[in-house]
Amino acid sequence: MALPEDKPIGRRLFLSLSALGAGTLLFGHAFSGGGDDAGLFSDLIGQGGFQIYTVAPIPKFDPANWKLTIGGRVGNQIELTYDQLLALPSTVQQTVFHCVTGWSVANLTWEGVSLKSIVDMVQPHADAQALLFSSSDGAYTDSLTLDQASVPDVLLAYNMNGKPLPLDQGMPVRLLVPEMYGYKSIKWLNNIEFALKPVPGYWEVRGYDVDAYINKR
Amino acid sequence: MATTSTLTSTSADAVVPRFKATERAVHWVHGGAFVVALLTGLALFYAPAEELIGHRFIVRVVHITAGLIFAIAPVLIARCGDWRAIKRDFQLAQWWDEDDRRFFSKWLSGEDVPSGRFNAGQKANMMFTLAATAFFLVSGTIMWQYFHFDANLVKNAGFLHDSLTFAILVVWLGHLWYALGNPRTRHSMRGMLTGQVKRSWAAEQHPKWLEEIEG
Repeated sequence: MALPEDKPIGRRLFLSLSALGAGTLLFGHAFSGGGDDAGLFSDLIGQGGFQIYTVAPIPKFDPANWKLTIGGRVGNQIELTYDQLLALPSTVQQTVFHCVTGWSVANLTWEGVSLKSIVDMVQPHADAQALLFSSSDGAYTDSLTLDQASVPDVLLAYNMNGKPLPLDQGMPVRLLVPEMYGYKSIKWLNNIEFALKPVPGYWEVRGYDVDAYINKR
Repeated sequence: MATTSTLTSTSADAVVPRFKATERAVHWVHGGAFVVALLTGLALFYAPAEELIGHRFIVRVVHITAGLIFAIAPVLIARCGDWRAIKRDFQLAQWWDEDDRRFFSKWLSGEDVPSGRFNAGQKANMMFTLAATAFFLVSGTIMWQYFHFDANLVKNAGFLHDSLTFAILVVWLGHLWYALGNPRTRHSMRGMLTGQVKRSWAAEQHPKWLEEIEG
């Protein structure tokens, strides 16, 4: 149906766009600082890199009544007030935050208590192989194996970039698992229970992978 | 019968057939699913909208469903319906004659070139939409089934999905302007709704096509 003088410009347009799309898929990360920057569009819409996702209304924080309870299969069940949590030995670390929806935020300074030190403090029973986390939003849960929880850079983080966590970042404290996608890093953490085995969390029963490691081992 | 058709084609408000049922079904299913995917995508991606709407799980399910319909349903409808009409339209969009090649420079200076069944703007829109839809499907599937894929690929897919959204928004707003706003072209909407357009409009906007079908 094409005449000899017609040119396949529409086809060329399609092929060029396809090459651009395939190139972005395969090599896009090479042009965005090794995959560690916030991404063009988070900057464009001015959210400082983070996009805030919630599954329930953001819970209020009352420093006087707030408690973090840690129990389950442990020898030494504990309850921490906000002040007690801040008084524990803390670590400061810089890590990149990777969201599974495709954005990352680099150069974040987190301060908090290493989860490993909490594990040592509560003396888990020999059969306690998992930690179950819940949020004071009443909806979000997630879990880690004891081994995953004992990696040194896993924090109960209460400061971000030198300031207390913003309310929408999980104030007063959130879990931070730098090597895993952000959905593991439960916000508004208020309960940790040691258990026999992990229980799939909020997104994990809705199709996300229980193994959230960004680079699978 | 011959007399009747001569009569219709010469009277002032005569109409000519423009789009078959398959073409219209492909267009509206694709477009309807696009709007749903766009709005739910906004509720997933744009934080202020996300905070307002919430219900992330339900919104995500609707978004993925709408996205799959957006990309796959038009192909199924075309295959079950008049496949040849769809194939012909996309073949027309691939090949540009001399007037098509001058279309955009003339358009910038406010002039028309005589167009066939589709003008070069429509052809570019069709080709862009075809490529964008394919890459929405690929990148969306990677984001949805992220745990099967490398972390960099997931990140790139997210970036591509976002970029495509911005690009298709620009193209779509242009499409809406010519279909609903611009007085000279908006009669084309009638073709996509009823399948027919006025002969006089076709003579002005798609003269070479009218010549062809009346040949």
